[in-house]
Amino acid sequence: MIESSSELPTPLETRAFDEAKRAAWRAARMREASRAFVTGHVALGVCLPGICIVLGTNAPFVLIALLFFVYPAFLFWAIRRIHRQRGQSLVKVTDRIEVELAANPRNVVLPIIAWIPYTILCMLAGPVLLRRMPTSIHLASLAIFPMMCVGYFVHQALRLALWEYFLFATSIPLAYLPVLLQPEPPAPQSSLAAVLGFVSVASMVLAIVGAASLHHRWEVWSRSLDDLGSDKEAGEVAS
Amino acid sequence: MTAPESPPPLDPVIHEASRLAIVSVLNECGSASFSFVIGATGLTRGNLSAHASKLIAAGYVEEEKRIVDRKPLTEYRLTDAGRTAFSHYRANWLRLTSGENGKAEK
Repeated sequence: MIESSSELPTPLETRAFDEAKRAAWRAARMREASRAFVTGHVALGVCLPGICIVLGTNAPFVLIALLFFVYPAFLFWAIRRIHRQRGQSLVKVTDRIEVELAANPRNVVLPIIAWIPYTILCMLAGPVLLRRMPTSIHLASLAIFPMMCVGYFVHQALRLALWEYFLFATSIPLAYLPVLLQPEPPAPQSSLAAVLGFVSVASMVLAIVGAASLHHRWEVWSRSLDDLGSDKEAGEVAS
Repeated sequence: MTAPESPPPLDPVIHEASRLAIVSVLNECGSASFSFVIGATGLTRGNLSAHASKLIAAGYVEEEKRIVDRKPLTEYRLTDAGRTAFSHYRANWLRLTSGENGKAEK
C-alpha cells in the first residue's frame, strides 16, 4: 500500500516510462527488420515440407532437389549479406539470442541438425504415411510445428505492427492447404495437380515478398540513421 | 495490525527519462550501435553520450569502440547487472502504479 502521494510516479515520470516503452517497441521493430532475411528463411523452411509433399507427388524429383539445394544456398547468401551489411553500416543491432549463441555456438548447430532430418523425413515419409495412416493423425502430426510458427508470426505481427509477419503467417497454411484439401494425391498431370502445386509455391512467394519488404524497411531506417548529422535528432526516422 | 509496507525504491540511475529510454532499448537487443540507439530513442548525440557514460559508470552498460571502414563505431550492451536492475525497476514501477490504481479506486 502506498501512503503518500509523493511516492507515486508524477505525470512526468509516467510519461517518461511510456516514452521508454515506445522506444523499446521501436527498437524491437528495427531489430526484427534487421534480420528480415533470416526470418523469411524460417518461414520458407517451415513451408518446405508442405511444398515438397505436394510437389513430390506431382512434380519431378529434380524440383525437390532444387528446393533443397536452392534453399540452403539462398540461406547462405542471406546470412552473408546480413554480415556484409553489418560490416558496412554504422547502424547495427544484434539479438539477445545472437549474443548468447556466440558464447555457445553448439546451441545454433543442434537445432539446424535436428531440422534437416525432420524436413527430409516429412518429404520422404509424407506420401507413404498418407496411404497407411488415418489421415487425421497424419495431418495432426504434420500440423503441430507449422501451427506453432503461425502463432509466433501472428503474435509478432500484432505486437510490432509489422504486416510482413502476417505474410509469413499466411504463407505457412497456404503451403499445407493442398495437403489438407486433397489428402489423396491427384493424378500427376491433371489440372488439379497444377493448381495445388501453384498454391503451394505461392506460399514461397509470400514469404519472399515479406522478407524483401521487411529488409527494405531496415535499409530505409539504417540509411536515414547513417546520414544523420551530429545535431539532428532521429526520433522521427524510427517512428 | 501490520505496519504498511514501504513503497519499493526505484533505481535512481535508471529512473532518469533518457537513461530509462536507453536501458529499455538495450534490453530489447543483444548489442546496439550508437546510431541505432539514437534512432530508437530520439536522443541527441550529446545526450546519449552523457547518459551512456553514467550507465557505464554504474556497471549497467558495456561499451565497445571499434573502427569500421575507417569510421568509429560504438556499440552498447546491457550487462547482466543492468538487465537485473532494469527488471527490478520495471517490477517496482508496476507495484507502484498498481498501488496508485488501488488508491484511485478507493
